[in-house]
Amino acid sequence: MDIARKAYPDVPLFRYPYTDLSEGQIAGAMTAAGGPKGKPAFDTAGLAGKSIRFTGEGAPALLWAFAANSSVSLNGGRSAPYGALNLGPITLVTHLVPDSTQAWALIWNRSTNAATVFELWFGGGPAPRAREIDRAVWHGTIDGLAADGAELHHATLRSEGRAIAWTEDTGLRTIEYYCSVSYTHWIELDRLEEHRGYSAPADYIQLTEELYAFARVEAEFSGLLHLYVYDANTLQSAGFRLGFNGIDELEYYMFRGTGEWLGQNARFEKLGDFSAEPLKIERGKKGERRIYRPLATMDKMTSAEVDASIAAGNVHVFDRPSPMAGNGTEKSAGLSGKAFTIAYDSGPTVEYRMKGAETLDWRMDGKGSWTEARYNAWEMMPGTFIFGHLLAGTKNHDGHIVVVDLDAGLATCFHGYLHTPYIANEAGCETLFGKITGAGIPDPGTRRHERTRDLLGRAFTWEYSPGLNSMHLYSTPNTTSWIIPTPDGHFATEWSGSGDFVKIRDQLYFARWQEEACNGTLGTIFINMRTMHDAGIGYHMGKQGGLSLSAVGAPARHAGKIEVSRFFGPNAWERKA
Amino acid sequence: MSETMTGTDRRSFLKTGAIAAAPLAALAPVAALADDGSKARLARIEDERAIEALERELLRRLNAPDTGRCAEMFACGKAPDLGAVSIRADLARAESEIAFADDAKSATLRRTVSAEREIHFTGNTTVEQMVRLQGHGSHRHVEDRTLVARLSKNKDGWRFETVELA
Repeated sequence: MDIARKAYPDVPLFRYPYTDLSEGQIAGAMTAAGGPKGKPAFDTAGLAGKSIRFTGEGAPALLWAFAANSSVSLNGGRSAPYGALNLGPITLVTHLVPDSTQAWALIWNRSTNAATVFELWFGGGPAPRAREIDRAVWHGTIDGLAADGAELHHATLRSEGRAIAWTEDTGLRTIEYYCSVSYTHWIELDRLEEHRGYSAPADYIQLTEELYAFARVEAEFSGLLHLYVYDANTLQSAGFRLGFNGIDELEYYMFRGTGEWLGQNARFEKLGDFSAEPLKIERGKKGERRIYRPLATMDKMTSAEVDASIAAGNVHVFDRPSPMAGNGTEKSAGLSGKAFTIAYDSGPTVEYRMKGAETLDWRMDGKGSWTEARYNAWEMMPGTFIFGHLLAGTKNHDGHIVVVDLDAGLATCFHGYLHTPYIANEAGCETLFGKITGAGIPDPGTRRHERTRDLLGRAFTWEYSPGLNSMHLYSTPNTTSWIIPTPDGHFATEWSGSGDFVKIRDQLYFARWQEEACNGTLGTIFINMRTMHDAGIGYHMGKQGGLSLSAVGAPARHAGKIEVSRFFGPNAWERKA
Repeated sequence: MSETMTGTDRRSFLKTGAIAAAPLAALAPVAALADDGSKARLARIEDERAIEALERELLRRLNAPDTGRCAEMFACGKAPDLGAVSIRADLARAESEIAFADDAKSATLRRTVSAEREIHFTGNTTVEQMVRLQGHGSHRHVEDRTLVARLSKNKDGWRFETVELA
């Protein structure tokens, strides 16, 4: 596909072909930049003429000599321009290392002398591409702690679940959901068009009771680093951004920001457990951490491979145990014997004869012969069912996953299909709204199910089967994010994709997510917030499993709701892909 | 098994405490006792104790590092895969229920056990992939299950026909 090159792409970031920059290109850009830019006046006066030495466990010996001309020399090397911003007792310093792909950040609490150092570099790994910045983090002191009882900085889970809307002095606004101890989920409200949320690995560091440091690396996408310190009480921040945007310009600037507290969802560690590094890799390489890389690991197929696999009969419709439904809702035979027609607005008309609890006949637009298909159904509230089946013989191997409210005569379909323009075995999806006609089913007239913001900002945990859990965060009107916990309840790695959210009845919702450029699944769930249980269907095409429909179902815990609706316009559910 | 199973009030027997635990082979010949009903009762006790001993031995072997010796306890010479890492039963506190067929040649034993299961997340769902990435590719948990054993008796004594976790 022809994708316009832009600093901030107008396509989803997982579609954008970021250049695989060489270390030479990166070093050249860094040399040309020299030091950080930025709107705020740098707080260099207090550092001029000072030499400070950092010591920390496992850290290299670091001695910074700050000159009066806003330049700094590290360990006697060549001087480079630096930037510094103070936030209360914290001084944040950043500079590049001349003629290299290396940079440094120092977070120094001048009151206690506790300090954290970020060593930053492009190329050489562990990141798979040079443009994705690597970082190593050390906690220590500047010339020893200033007083007995002063504490070193440390990784923290205290931020987990919080959300803050930041406005930088650049005018750029970002919603940051700190919904994990090792990942973050952010929404660029100005630089990106579609108001999608994206997920990235993050560092959360507690400096004092109210001061925190945060660093996000946009792994799998641009590879940019966004690092800041913030005061949780005053909601002021100071930070910098370093990396290459979509047109390979080096962004290296410092900023100040003002935050708006949006709330905090629950976290699920055992009470009293404040451990904060559940995914630490013992004896790992410098900078190594567990990063989910779905763009690289997805089992991609060509259109020919998809068609051949399905033609060979590699199709599985509710014929295997689903680990995603070990704690699922019981199936229902309640549709058996019914006959009805669903007329979708701007979509097909589908006639159904539900021959049994798991067998139906369908016919499209009143034409042709009836086709038998296997289905499963679940009744999540009396009179409302979710059911799904494949439409064998359709060009794109369609699946219809439908919620019908037989008491209201309303239906909504998540129409899944393959052969998207991007990856053939990745599920595309459209949402169809319609009305049902059939014996005893009322005519809803022009009324239809509608998209809802009732779920926006909410997070639910889902306990699929023993040891297999996740949390959903419905972060924007078109984004579903999922976060995976460790066995001890730390939520950790995270990813996200397109979402859509439809209200069926009060506290009853039909929601979906698409694992675009990820695992390719279309996940659909029918959520009953009164019973806090769901039933759903996964539509998936893969090399190993073929084309499948499988059950999804789990009890839920409500982790909370972050109020973010005001940040999104009325049509914010729309998206290009 | 088509015969009618009859439950046994084992507690009433055990309360007597008259029969000490002993190897099956060492039990007194039933034929030597007067046939005033005690013969049948003693036979039932003998059967119960034999089955109990078999059950204990099966649990011991199931939880041993080498479970290969379970097979010889089964009539078919092959032990079933119960899908559990370990199976624990509190033999001192909870009793098994044994139901005998009318001909006393077969029986069904039921006992509540704690079955430790290990699930390996080898699938292709996104959640499984991410769980593996986090270094937790398997999960152990304990489930309360019912051990259901069907046994048969021949001239050599009792053997397991089937054992399953319900």
